[in-house]
Amino acid sequence: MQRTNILFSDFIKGLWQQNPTFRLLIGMCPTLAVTSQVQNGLAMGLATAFTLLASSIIISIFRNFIPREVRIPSYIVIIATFVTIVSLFLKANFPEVSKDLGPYVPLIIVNCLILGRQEAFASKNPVYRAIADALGMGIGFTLSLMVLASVREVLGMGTLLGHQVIFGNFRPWVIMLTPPGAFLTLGLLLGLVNIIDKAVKARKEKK
Amino acid sequence: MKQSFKMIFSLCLIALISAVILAKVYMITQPAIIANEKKATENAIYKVVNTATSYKESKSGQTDIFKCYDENNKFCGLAFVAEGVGYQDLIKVMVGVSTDFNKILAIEVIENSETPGLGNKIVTPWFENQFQNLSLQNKITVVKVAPSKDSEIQAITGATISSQAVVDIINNKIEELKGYK
Repeated sequence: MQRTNILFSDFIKGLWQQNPTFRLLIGMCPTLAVTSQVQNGLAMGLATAFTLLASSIIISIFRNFIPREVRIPSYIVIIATFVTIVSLFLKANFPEVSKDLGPYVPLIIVNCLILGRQEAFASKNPVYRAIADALGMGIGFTLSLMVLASVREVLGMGTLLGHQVIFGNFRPWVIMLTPPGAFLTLGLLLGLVNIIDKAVKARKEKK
Repeated sequence: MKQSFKMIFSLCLIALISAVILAKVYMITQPAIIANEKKATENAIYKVVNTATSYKESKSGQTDIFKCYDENNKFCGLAFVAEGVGYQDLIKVMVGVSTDFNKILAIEVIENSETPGLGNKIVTPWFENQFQNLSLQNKITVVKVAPSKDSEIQAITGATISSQAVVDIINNKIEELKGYK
């Protein structure tokens, strides 16, 4: 029972309390760059989540073997291996997605979300907890990217996942697709998340 | 001494294992990646020279030229990739021209990173179709209103630079290749 509880809290914290995008504000570069369309946000989120999960497992297994002094280079090599696998896999099976994501796939290597979780969690905890943590963080990251991308795609193109969702005399807000649109959306969503979080906490205190 | 040996040993071991895994994955995925690239090029060629059913690769200087043949095996057009700088990054255009370089048959923008919603409208049929059967007697020029001459292209609203870039890229390449048989 105790063990399931720990696993559950390891997993669930990545979705809200320590959500990488909206609460920890890490891994911002791909977050802002690839979220102009839901499809790209989803692909980026899944690629990052897979890399995070795979490298967390390996690093957690070998956490006692890797000497502390060379842990960062070791982590980078392990992460880079998985990212290259993802990149080759995308190129071979989803050439269109791979073209759209461009240089942002190889850049997952230096995404501080992944290195950060290895340093803060996987290198100090047993494998089963590292898996729960990586799954929570990975899913939280993917969902955040999709929320951000949905807002931008709907307002910027009037479509969602490529399907028309706004009809009539709607003129797309082109700015939402450009970098300023990414910052605007992120800022407003961060504010919204903070308001919700405060409201939830206030309710808990009353009880 | 013992400590540094351990550091070197473990780092080497990790790198070695990574290299072996990556070599294997590369070997598995490489045929599919090459096939994808070839298919993308082929689709573009058949789109810009739409009567073509087969093609032969040849070279003029640094440029790959695809000589296209129709179903009766008659020489029916040339296709080549023109590339140059756009508003943000490289633009690559597949261009199909008639056998005597008299007119453009069609074009397809195959790579661009222009501004989403503005410059990247160069991939829309509205823009690309303007190049169909465009005369090459004179240099192609960009205008901001509806074209009045048969060598004019109407720029995309709010993306004159991207429109101009595509036209310049095509003009330059045609100038370079003109007379190629």
